[in-house]
Amino acid sequence: MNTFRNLHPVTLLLYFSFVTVFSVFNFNPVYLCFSLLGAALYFASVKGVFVMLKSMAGYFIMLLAVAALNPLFSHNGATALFFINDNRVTLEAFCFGAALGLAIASALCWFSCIGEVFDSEKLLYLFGRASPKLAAVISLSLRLVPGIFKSFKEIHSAQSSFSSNQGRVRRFLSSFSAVITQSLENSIITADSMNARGFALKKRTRFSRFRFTAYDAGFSAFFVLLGTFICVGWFSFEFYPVISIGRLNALNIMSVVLFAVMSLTPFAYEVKEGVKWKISLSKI
Amino acid sequence: MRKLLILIIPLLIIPAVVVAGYIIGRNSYAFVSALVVLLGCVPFFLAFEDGNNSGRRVVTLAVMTALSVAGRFIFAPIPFFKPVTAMVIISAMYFGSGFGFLTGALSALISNFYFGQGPWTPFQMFAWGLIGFLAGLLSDPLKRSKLVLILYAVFSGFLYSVILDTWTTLWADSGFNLTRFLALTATSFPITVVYIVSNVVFLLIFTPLFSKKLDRIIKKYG
Amino acid sequence: MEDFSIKNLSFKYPDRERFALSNINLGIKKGEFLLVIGESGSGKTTLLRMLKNELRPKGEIDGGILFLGNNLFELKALDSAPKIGFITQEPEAQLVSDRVYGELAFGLENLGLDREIIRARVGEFASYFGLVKEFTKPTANLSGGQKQLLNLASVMAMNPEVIILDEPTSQLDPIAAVEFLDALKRLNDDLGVTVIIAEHHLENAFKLADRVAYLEDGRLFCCEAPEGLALLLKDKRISQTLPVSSRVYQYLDSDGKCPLTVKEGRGMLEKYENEHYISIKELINNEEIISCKDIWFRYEKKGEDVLRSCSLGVRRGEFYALAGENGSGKSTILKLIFGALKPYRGRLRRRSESLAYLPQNPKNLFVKDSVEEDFKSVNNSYLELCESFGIEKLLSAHPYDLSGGELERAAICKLLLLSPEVLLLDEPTKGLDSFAKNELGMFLRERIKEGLTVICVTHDLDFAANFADRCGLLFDGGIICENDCNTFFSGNSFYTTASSRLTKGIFKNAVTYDDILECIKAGEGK
Ligand SMILES: Nc1ncnc2c1ncn2[C@@H]1O[C@H](COP(=O)(O)OP(=O)(O)OP(=O)(O)O)[C@@H](O)[C@H]1O
Ligand SMILES: Nc1ncnc2c1ncn2[C@@H]1O[C@H](COP(=O)(O)OP(=O)(O)OP(=O)(O)O)[C@@H](O)[C@H]1O
Ligand SMILES: [Mg+2]
Ligand SMILES: [Mg+2]
Repeated sequence: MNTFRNLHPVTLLLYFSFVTVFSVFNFNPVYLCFSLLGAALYFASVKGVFVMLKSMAGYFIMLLAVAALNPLFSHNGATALFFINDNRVTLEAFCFGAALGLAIASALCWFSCIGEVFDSEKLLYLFGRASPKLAAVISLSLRLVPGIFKSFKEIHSAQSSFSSNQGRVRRFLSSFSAVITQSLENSIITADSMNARGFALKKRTRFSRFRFTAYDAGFSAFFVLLGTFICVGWFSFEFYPVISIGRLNALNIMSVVLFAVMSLTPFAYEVKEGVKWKISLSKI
Repeated sequence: MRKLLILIIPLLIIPAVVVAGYIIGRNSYAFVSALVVLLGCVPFFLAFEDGNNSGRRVVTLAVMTALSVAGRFIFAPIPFFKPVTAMVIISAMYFGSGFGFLTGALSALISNFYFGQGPWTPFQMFAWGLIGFLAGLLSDPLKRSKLVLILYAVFSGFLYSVILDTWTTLWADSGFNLTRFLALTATSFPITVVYIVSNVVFLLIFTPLFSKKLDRIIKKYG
Repeated sequence: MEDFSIKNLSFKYPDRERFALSNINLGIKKGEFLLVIGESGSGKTTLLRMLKNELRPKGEIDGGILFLGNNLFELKALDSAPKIGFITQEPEAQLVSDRVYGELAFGLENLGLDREIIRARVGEFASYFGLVKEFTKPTANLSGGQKQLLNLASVMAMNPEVIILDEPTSQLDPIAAVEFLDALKRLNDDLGVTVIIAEHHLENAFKLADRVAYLEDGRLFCCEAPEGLALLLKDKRISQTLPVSSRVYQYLDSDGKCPLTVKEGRGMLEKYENEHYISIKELINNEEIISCKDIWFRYEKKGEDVLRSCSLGVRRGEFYALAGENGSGKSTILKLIFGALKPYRGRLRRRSESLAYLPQNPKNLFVKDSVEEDFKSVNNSYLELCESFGIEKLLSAHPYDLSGGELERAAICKLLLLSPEVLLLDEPTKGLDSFAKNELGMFLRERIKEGLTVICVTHDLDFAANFADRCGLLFDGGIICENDCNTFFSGNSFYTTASSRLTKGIFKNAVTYDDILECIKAGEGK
């Protein structure tokens, strides 16, 4: 089945940079609500509703905490609710804290989606375009990490019969030291194998399985357009000194609507493809 | 072109971004800081790409990075014992400052594949990278004196916490709010201290071990 | 046209007195399949590495090598890297990418080839080597045999003229090893690549070779077609490593061509067919020191069961060998018995708590900077044991500087310092040559006489047939058959020794070379 994550990495990068930048660096609750909604729905479609609800519960607690704590640090705002040690606790600061919590929640939620969509393969592809050598390093590190962890476990359990009289930390350290020796030793073999295949003789190219098709180009253009119009009609929301909304005009409303469209795109995409798949299945 | 970029980025582009951020105003601080730390990593990446790096060096970088990432898993059962900073410092001491920066930055990037990427990734990359870079510059005194090593471990623990707390403050307040910064630093202070202690322990044990291991490898394989 | 012509080549490592190679003269023809054999330390690896510019060891070189008529030493790196491929014995450490397709593309990327060309090449080689299903998988998930096949494929994707392999199958299970060699032969036949391969285990490689070069102490003793070699090597110790058919041929002094395969060898034996059979040794019938009853195990909560209702009983004082293909769970059973892992169902009973475990990678036992330090940390009275092992000379060495056989012995010595009652060995013969293997086997038998119990996981069926009392086969999460060695191996058709295949239906229960000789002698005596 075709899914959102099958889009070309460049397109995905474009999309996710837009939504994360708009969510992380923006405290307008109107945008943020859509952002969180879009992220949560997409996350649910990838990982299941239950996992989504579980993380939402966590975000909600965090949101409350941030909202409650913010007035302690920030005494801006005109509407004082009460005083603690001569410090004003303001309504604005509280609301700002809530918006901040919302921003953090939606950022975290988008980053969880990114973690699902942007596997190492896609990241390496993006790196590889700019810097094929660095991509080789990352790729090699990614291969080494599980191996190192595995050999640590093996060494540690093999050592268990010899070092029962040592402290826990010391046993960990001595096994880790053995892992370092082993890794350095193996690195020579790896380096030989790279050199034998002509590494660093010439400027490297980087192969990948991805192809940038017209479909991806279309989506990229769509995202760029959305992004531009969202910025053009940006609807500002001030917390300090008092909560105030600029006068709404048609552009603002368009911006918010387009932002909603943008946030919901991945979810809508999954739903559409799911339906299409069901239909095509019933035809078979 | 690339060589030029290596100079232009720190000298022109980063200041330009900062100025632009200042002009746009308070709301952009967090964004600008994220951009700045990302751009800060780029010259090192470019220099590596252009540099004359043999297969050995490339593999060594990957191995040091993988060791520091795997170290996070390996020491997971022992609370607060994370060898990343120490491995980055060791890597910088023996292989130079550019290498140290890359070990730090890549360790952050790769370990977040397992522990979750987030808005903090660029800051972690930059913080660990910077720790590595400075350790590389100080490699001689670090190798010679245990005291310098301990002091540097303490310094790098604070540096890491300051960079990450600064970012959190900038993000939360769209400006630098000293109270919040201090509060954050204070809450993370005990953890920072524990990290620092573990770093010191780790460095004191592993620096001599590592140099012995490295000497052996160099003697064996030339 | 000759690919390589080696002229008066001598080589000495920097701090050694002896020449590792002395005065070698050898021409290697285009499209030839050349097998290099020799005892451990005879200079096989050194010779092969001399042929690859990037891997040539540093030292004193005399003489020269021509590659396609030009001086090899002066060949440009961009020419030599793709034209000469090299594969070593570590399947895992040679991989450089996290994904299979990345590995296949690696060499081509280094050559700066165009993306579309790489795509075509990578696709073609993945299908030729049967790696299509694994194409996008992480390399860490491949089995050992697949990893080595991937190494071969990624070297082949660069279209080399020659491919050089240094003991490529020593870490693989018997079936994967045969598959690997077959793939190699197919490449040689289909594409005409020159193959130069060093091997210790000749049972499968010998018959594939066009010529076999025998190195003795750094000298080239001879380079002959395999059929001719058997007679030339008659009085050499190395002839023990030849395929069983050839050894039997040597023993019988028959005339005619030397048989290399089981098919050819059987003809030679048929006239000896007789009533004689190998009597089955009486099994020890002590109490079970280890007994597993219906144990179940999996690594991850949602993962697949590795062991399913597996039962295994090992008696005190016996040598139990456990065979099975890669990934069947052999190492897992040992770890369970040792107690490093716990079954989630079933009962596992140990009558003795003094167990010692040799991990699959014996390096994992050593954490210090010299063998001696490691021994000291266990037990201070190690000298005596070391002498009985003949490793007292190695005490000051770093564990990683030991050869495969030395390391294996040092590791077992370290385990015995704990004076265990049960020794758990995970593939102790990996990477050993036949002599080291025999020594190890004999040594273990000595210890068993003194009351030791040995459980040994092994791919090396000859080793099991020669030294074990009982043998079990692990398949599909359980032990599917288990018997004394002679019954076990003569019952199997593929999972058995070459000797048993050679004599199936001719001599009853003969599973080792010695068994065959016994039967022949009995036949002659009649
Ligand atoms: N790096 C080295 N430095 C010094 N001497 C070496 C080195 N490598 C090998 N030798 C010596 O050179 C000789 C030939 O070794 P080589 O590794 O070529 O043998 P081999 O036939 O490949 O053995 P094996 O079957 O065990 O792999 C041996 O005596 C060995 O001790
Ligand atoms: N630490 C682990 N985590 C998850 N799965 C594992 C782990 N170790 C082994 N496995 C899986 O368990 C199965 C059995 O592995 P095991 O190492 O016991 O096989 P083996 O018979 O010893 O193979 P080999 O001959 O290659 O040594 C394999 O499918 C393997 O992928
Ligand atoms: Mg060798
Ligand atoms: Mg195993």
